[in-house]
Amino acid sequence: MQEKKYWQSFAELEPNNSLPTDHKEFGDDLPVLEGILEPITDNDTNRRDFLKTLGFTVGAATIAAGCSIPEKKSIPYVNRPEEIAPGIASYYSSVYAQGGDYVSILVKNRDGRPIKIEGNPDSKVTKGGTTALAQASIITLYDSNRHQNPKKAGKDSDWKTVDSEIAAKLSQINASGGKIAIVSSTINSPSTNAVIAQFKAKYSNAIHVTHDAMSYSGLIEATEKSFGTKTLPNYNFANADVILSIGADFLATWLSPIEYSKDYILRRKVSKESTNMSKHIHVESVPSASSATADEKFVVSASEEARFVGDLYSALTSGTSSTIPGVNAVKNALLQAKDAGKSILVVNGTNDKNAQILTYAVNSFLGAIGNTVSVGSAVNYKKGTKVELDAFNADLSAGSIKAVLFLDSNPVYSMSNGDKLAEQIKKLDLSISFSDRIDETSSVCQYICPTNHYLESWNDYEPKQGIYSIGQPVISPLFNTRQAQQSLMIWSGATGTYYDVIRGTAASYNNSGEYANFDGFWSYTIMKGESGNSTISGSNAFNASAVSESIAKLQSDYPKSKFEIKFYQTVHGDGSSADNPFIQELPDPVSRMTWGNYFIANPADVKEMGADDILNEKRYAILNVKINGKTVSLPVVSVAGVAPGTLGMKFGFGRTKTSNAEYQYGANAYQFSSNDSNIATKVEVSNSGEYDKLASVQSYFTLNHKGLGGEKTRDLIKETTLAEYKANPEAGNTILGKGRKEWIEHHLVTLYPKHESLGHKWGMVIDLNSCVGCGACVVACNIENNVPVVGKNEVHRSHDMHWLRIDRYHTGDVNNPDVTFQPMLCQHCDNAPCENVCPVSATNHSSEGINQMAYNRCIGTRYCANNCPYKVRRFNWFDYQGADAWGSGNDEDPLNRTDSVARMVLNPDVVTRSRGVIEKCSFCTQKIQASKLEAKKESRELRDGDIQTACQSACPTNAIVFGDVNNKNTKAFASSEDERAFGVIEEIYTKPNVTYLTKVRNRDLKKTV
Amino acid sequence: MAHKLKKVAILLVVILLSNVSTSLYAQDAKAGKATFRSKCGSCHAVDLKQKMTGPALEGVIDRWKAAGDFKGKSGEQWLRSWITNWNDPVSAGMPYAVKMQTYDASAMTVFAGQISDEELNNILAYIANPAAAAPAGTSVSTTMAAVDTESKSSYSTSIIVALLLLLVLVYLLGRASKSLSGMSINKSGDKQYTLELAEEDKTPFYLKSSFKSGLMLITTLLFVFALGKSAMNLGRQQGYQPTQPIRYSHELHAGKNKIECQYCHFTAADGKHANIPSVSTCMNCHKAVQQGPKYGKSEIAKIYEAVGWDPNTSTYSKQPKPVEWVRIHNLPDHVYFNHAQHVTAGKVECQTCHGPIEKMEEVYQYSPLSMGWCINCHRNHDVQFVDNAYYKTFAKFHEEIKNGTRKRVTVSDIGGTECQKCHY
Repeated sequence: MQEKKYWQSFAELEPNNSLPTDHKEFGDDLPVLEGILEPITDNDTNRRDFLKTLGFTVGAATIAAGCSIPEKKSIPYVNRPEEIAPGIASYYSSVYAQGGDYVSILVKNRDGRPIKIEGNPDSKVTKGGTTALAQASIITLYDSNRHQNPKKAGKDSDWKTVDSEIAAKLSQINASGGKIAIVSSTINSPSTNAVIAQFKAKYSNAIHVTHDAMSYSGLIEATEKSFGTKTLPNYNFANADVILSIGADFLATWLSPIEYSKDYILRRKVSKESTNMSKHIHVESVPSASSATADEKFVVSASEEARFVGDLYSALTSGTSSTIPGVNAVKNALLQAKDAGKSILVVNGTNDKNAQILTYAVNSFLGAIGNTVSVGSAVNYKKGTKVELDAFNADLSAGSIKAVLFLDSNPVYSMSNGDKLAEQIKKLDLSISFSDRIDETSSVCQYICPTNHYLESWNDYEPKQGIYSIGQPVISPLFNTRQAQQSLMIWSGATGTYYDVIRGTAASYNNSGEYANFDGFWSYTIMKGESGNSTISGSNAFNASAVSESIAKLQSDYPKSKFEIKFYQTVHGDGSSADNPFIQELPDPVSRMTWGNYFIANPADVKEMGADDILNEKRYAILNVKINGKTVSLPVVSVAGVAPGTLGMKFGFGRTKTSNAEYQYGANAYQFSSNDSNIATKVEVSNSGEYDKLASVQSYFTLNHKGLGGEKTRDLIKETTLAEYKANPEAGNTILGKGRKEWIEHHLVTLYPKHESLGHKWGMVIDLNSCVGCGACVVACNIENNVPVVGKNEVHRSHDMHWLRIDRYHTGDVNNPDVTFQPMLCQHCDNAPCENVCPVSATNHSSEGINQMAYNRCIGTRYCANNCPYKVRRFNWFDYQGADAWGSGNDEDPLNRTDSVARMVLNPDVVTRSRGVIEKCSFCTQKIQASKLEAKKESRELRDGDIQTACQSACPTNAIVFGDVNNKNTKAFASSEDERAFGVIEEIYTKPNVTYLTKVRNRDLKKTV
Repeated sequence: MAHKLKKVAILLVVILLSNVSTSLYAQDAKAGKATFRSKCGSCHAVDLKQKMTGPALEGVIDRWKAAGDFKGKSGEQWLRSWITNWNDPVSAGMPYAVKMQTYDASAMTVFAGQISDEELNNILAYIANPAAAAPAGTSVSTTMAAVDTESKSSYSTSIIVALLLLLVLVYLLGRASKSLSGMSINKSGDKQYTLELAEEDKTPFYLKSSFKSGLMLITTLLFVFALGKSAMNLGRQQGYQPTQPIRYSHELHAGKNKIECQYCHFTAADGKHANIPSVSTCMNCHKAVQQGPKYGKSEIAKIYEAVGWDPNTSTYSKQPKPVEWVRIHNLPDHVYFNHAQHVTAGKVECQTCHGPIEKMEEVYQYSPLSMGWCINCHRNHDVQFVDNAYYKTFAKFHEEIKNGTRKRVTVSDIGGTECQKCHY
C-alpha cells in the first residue's frame, strides 16, 4: 500500500526498464590492467617474453627488498614558537571573503600548516556555518600553479622592477589626463577602501569600478528607487511565518545563504514541543536546492518567473487574474496569511530592477517592510551596479581610460562583453592584474602582481553595518607574492604596511566602550573573529512611485516564447573557484552532475527534440542554442521540475584560461546573459545530432529499491505533513504500512550475536527536514579525510570516491516533483552485511559501534561493496596519496597529491590508503579518538558535543547530530528515540547507527503519484 | 634456563631495592642539592662555580657573612631573608642586598611560601659543603633487560621445536610417499619392476628418491619460513642506532644528571609526538655548562653554532641553523600513535617502550615496534580505571569491580585491540 513513489532517475519510472549496467556497481573489468596484461595474454607472447617479464619482476623485487630503509631527519625549531607544539592543532579565526561573500571561519593549523576550515560559531552573521566554497578554499592555498613571482608580459620579473615601472607609468598617465580604473569585485573591507582612497588621492584621475560576477545591481537600484538608500536590504527569515521565494535560491547561493539558512532553519525544525513551522512557497523555472525544502512549489517558465511578481502585485492589490500558473494560489495564500496577522517575507532572485521594485511593493503591501525586510543600515555583500559598469564600458570605448587594475575580478570571463573587453585591455597603456592564478583577464594584462592567498593576508571586513571583523593570516606567504593592498600603497607612495592601515581603521570601530583600550579591542576581535553588532535602523518608508511603470516594463521585457533560458548559479559559485577540483567534483544538488555545465530541460522537451533516450544517463545529446545572436553547443540533461519550454544554464563554467584544461569543461554563461537579467527569451534550439559524455553520479551507487524481498518496494524516504505530524508524531514513519516501532518489535530476528557496547556507542541523526542539499558537508568530509578527487573521466566510469553523498529523490509529478535530499554515508550497521563477507576481516565492528576499516589489511576483493545495501563503500582505483612505494601509477589526479606543495593540506591524523582498497566513512574516528584523549587527559567524562564530525560542523543548518547514544543525556540519543526517527531499509535488519528524521512539509494536501 | 634468569632478575631487583634504601639515609646536603636543582637550578649553576642568569653561589654564605651585621641581624640571616624574598633586605636597606639587586636586569624569583625552612637549611648545607652531596652509586633498572632475554630464549626454543616437528613431518611424508609408490606399482601388477625396486633398496640412502624429495621439501619449507620471517621484518628497525649530528648522551643527562625526560620532551604529555627539544631548550643549561665530561667543549660548541650563540660575547649574534637529528623510531604511515595517550592517560613509563634510555650513551631503538609487541601490551596493561574519571562511562566494569567479579580492566577490555584504535 505505497502511497508515494520516490525515484532518482527516470529509468525507475519506467515499468519494464532493463538498463544495461546501471545497477552493476563494478560493471567494468579491471581497466587499469590494460597494457600491463597485454604482453602476457597476447597470442604472440612466447616463452621468452614470459621469462623476460618474470625475470624483471623478480629482479625488481630483489633490489627493492635489498634496499635499506632511508634515513629520516627530524628537525626541531631553533626557538619553538610558544603556541606550536608538534602534533597539536590550534585554531585561528579568520575570514573567507571572495567577491563580497562573507564567511567567518576558524582555521585549523597543524604544525604551522592550515589544513581545514571550520565555521566560526561566535560570528553574528554566519553563526558557525560554512559553504562548500569556503570549505574547498583551503586547497587553493597549496596550489603550485599560483603565480610565484610578479610577471611582466607573461615572464617572471621581480617586485623592484615591476614597482618602479608601474609607478612611473601611473604618474605619466595621470599627468596626461588619462583615467586609471581600479576594477574590483565588491569590497567590504574598510581598510581596502581607505587604501583605494589613498591611491585616488595620489592619482587624481583614478576611479574605482565595482563589477560583481553575480550581480545584484537590480536589487540595489530598486532599493535606491524605493527607499532612497543605495544598499542591499536586510532580510529576517527567522521572523517570517510565510516565505515566498520567486526564483531565489536563498539557502544555497543567493546573497548570503549561510546567514539565511541559519535563520530559516530555526522555523523549520519541528518537534513535539515546537510545531511553529514556517510555510515556504517557492516559484521557479529551474529547480534549486532551496525549492527542495519548500512546502508548496509552483513551476513557471523563465519569462513567467520574471513577470510573476508583477502579476502577483496586480492580483493582490486589484484582484486582476493572471495567466501565470500559481499566481492565484499564491495570492490567496498570502492574503490569508496577511489576514491572520502573520509575518510574510517575499524574496526574488532576479537581477531585474523593475521586478525588485515590485517585490518591495508586494512586501510593503503585505506589511513586511520594517518587519522581515528592513532597509536602512548598510548591508555590504554586493555593491556593484549596472550604472557604474555602463559608465566604465563607455569610458573604455571612448578611450579616456588609459590604465586599468583588476583586483579580485575577472571581467574578461564574467562580463557579457568579455571578448571585446579583452581586445580593449590589450590596447591600453597600462594593464595590471592582481590575480594570484591564471585567469582570462590576467592573461591579457601587461603586468601580473600576484596577491597573497587570503589565508596569507591581513584584512578587515564590515559585512553589515556595525559588524567589524578581522581576517588574520595563518601562514607566511608560500611564494613571492604581495598583498594587492600593499602594492597599491607602494604605488601611492605611502609608507608603512597594510597591517598598520588596518590597525588605524580598527581604532575607529572601537567605540562601544567595552574595552579598556585599543589593544583589548584588537585582541578580542582577532580572537573571536568579529566584534560589534548589526544594528537595523533607518527609514523604512516605501516609495511606490515607480510601481506602475515597472509592471508595464516587465510585461514588455519578458515576452513568452517557445524556448527560454534561465541562467542560474549553484553551489559551484560564480566561476572564480572553477579551478578548485573539490568544487568541480561536488555534484550539483539537483541534477547530480559533476565537472562542467550543460543545459537542463524538461524531460518531455528533450524527448520532443529527439535529443536522446532520457533513460541513458551515460551519454547526452548536444544542443545548438542561439541566444541573442550567439550560438552555444552544450549537452542537454533531463531534469524533473524544469518548466516546459525552459532551459537552464549554470554560471561558473567554461573557463578558458586555467592552470589545467580539466577546469574548462562546459560553456561560459556570462557571455549570453546581460547584467540586468538572468533570463533570455526567444531562444532558438536545435539538436546537433551529436553526443557528449557527462560525469553524472546519478545512476550508480544508488540504493536498490527492489531489495531482498523481490518486488517489495522499500521506503528510503519517509515524509509527512505538519497537520498529520501534530495529530500523530509517528505519522509517515511506517514500514510496509505499519507503524515503525510496532513493526520492528514483531518482525526482526537474527542469528547473529548481538554487538555489545559497554562504553560509548556512536550514533548519528540526520534531520531530513533540515538538509538543504548545499554540499558543504561533502567537501568538508573530503578535506578532513583526505578523500581524493578523481576527475571527469573517472566519475564517468562510476569511480568517484566521496564517502558522503547527498542522494536526491523525486516524488510526484515529473513536471513539478517534490525533492528530498538524503545525506548518505556509511550507516555503521550493527548487523553489517559488509563485515560478514570480508575474507580477511579487514572490515569489522568495534565495541563502540563503528564499522571499521583496516586499510592495510584490505586486499580489494570488493565483496563488501557489493554486499553493502547503502552503496557507500568506494574502491580506490588509483594511488591518490602517493602512499605506494612504486610511484603513483596515476596520471589523472586533479589534486596532484604527489606534488610536495599540494600534499601540505593532507590531514596527518588520517591514515594513508594505498591503491586497491575499499574506503568509506569512519565517523571521523580521528576526531572521536582526539576528543576521548582530551577527556582522559583532563580526567573527566566525555561531554555531549565534544565530538563534531566534519560533516556536522560544516552544516549550516545543523541537520546532523552526532554523539554517544549509550548516554541517555545526549542530543543524539534523544533524537534517535524520537517518533520521527527511522533507519533506511532497517526492515532488512541491518540495525544502522545512522538514523534519519522524517521530512515534514507544512502543506495541507499530500502529493501522490 | 628460564628459571635461572628469573633468579638473576630477582637478585637484581634486590640489589636495586637496597640501593634505593641507602639513599633514604641521605644527608641534608644531598636533599639540599635536589631542592637546589629543582628550585634554583634554572638560574644558578648547580656546580656553584659558573655564572648563569644568577651568580655562582660558591662561598655565597661567607660573602654575606663578610657583609657584617645590619639592624641586629647577621649576614647569614639576611641571606635567608634574601632567598625567601629578596625585596625584604633591599627595602630594609641592607647594603650588600642593595648591591646585589643590580647584579642582573632580571630579578630573582620570590620564593616566599614556596620554600620551607627545612628546604632552606638543606640548600644552605649543600652550598656550604657541596662535596657532601656527591652521588652514592648509580641505581640500575635491570629487571626489564632480564625479562627480555627470557622471552628471546623461549623464542629460539620454539624455533628448535618447529624444526624438530618439520623433521618428523618429513620422515612421515617420506614413509607415506614410499608406501604410495609401492601401492601404485602393485596395482599396475608389474612384479618384475617391483623386484627390481627391491633390489635397488641397497643403494645408499642419499640416492633414494624419498630422501631427495624429503630434502627438497625441507629446503623449500625452510626457505619459505625464512622468507616469511624476513618479509615480516621489512621496515622494522629494532636495534637501529644511527650516528647523530651531536654526540648527545642520554646516559649523562637522564642517567647521571637525572634530568626528567619531559623536561626536554615536554609535548609527550600533551601531544601526539614527544618533541625533540629545540636548541633553545639546551641553552637553558648550556649557557652555563660550557664543557662536558667526555668531549670537552667540542660537542657543546655545536649547540652554540646551531642556536647562533657566541660564547665569547655571551650574545645570540650568529645565524642560527637547526640541528638535523636522525629519527630513530619510525612507525609505518598506517599506524597512529599518540604519546599523550600513553604517557598521560595510560601512565606508561618512557622506559617501557624506549628501554633503559638513561643508560644509553647513544640511543637505539629498544623495542621491535611491531604490531604483536603493541598488542601484547594492550592485552596486559591495565588502564587507569579508578583514577581517571573518563572511565566512568564503563558502568558495567565499575559494577563488576564493586561486586568483586572483576579485578582489573586492561586496554583490551575497553576495545584497545580493535583495528581502528590504531589504524586510522
